[in-house]
Amino acid sequence: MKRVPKGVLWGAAVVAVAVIVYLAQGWFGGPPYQYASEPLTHLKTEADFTLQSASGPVSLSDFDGDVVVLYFGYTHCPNICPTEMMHLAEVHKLLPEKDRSRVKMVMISVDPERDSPATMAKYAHAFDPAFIGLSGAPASIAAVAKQFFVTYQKTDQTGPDQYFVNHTSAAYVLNTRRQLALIYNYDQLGSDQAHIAQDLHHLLLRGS
Amino acid sequence: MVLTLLTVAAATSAAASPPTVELQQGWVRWLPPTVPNTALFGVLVNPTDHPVRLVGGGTTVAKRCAPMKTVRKDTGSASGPVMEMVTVDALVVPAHGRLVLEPGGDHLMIMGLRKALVVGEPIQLTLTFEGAEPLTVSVPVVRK
Repeated sequence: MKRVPKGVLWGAAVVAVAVIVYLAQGWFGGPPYQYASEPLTHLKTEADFTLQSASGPVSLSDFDGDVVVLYFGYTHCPNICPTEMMHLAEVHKLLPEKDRSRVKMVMISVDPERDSPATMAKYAHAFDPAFIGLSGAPASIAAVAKQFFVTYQKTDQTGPDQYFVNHTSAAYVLNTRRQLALIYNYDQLGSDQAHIAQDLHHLLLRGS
Repeated sequence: MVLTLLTVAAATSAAASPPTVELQQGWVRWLPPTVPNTALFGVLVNPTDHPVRLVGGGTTVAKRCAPMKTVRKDTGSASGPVMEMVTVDALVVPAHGRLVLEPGGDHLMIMGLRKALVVGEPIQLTLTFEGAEPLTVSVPVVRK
């Protein structure tokens, strides 16, 4: 009898295992989707707030059925905020076209004394015309920030009306039921835009 | 032939003048017109035998420039680090070394812009150092 070379046997074994794994995925509904960030499955409360846009009050519940990405920053921020806004604009571009109107990118000012709703609108639109910029009374902003564990603090003045605001720089993703589903920290936003776009698409598909 | 002459000329002039700090791949970040600030990024190269300190700068398009650092404060929360902007007296370019100015890191902040930034338009800046002559550069406004 002709001997089958060892390499061929190994190859056949690998193919057989691959086929079994592939079939098993079909039977069990496939591997769970891997998000770029650990999903926050334990947070079931529905977030809500009302802040001011250039054209009047905006509530989180206005976006029910959509995925909302919140970013807390300020327009005088020279370095971190624009970097993150450009990353979010990149994520928005990478979304399938039909998803874009259903993923709301919202920037909330942590410097409401200098950022009016009109300033926030202009700033957000400069990164993507679909982006939403919100500001509000300092107490309202503080309450919203608290909901999302965002910390921010003014630095000492370096000149008249010149100060910085140190702040958490992360993107908070709410699913279509206004539940906090994912948080992308500074590093993830900078390196994983394609994966983040996939995550947002997945959240829309899943509906929660 | 012309090329050879030019090369020789370039080599001669390089040898004649003492080595100085240089800015490579410099750019200024475009920001929406509502923002009064921006920043200079790029790589400062110091070919000299001593460290050089970037202490400031000047430009006709803004009121003042200041070296700044971005400091990460890890919070241990899922939100990740808090990024803090810190004004410093100087940013140091080591002897025979480089200093990278980049978004999220060290930069020369440009404050009090007098005009809106236009993508692609060059901006003239003069960087001031301790340990080196001032350096005048023309860098593009880039949206990235």
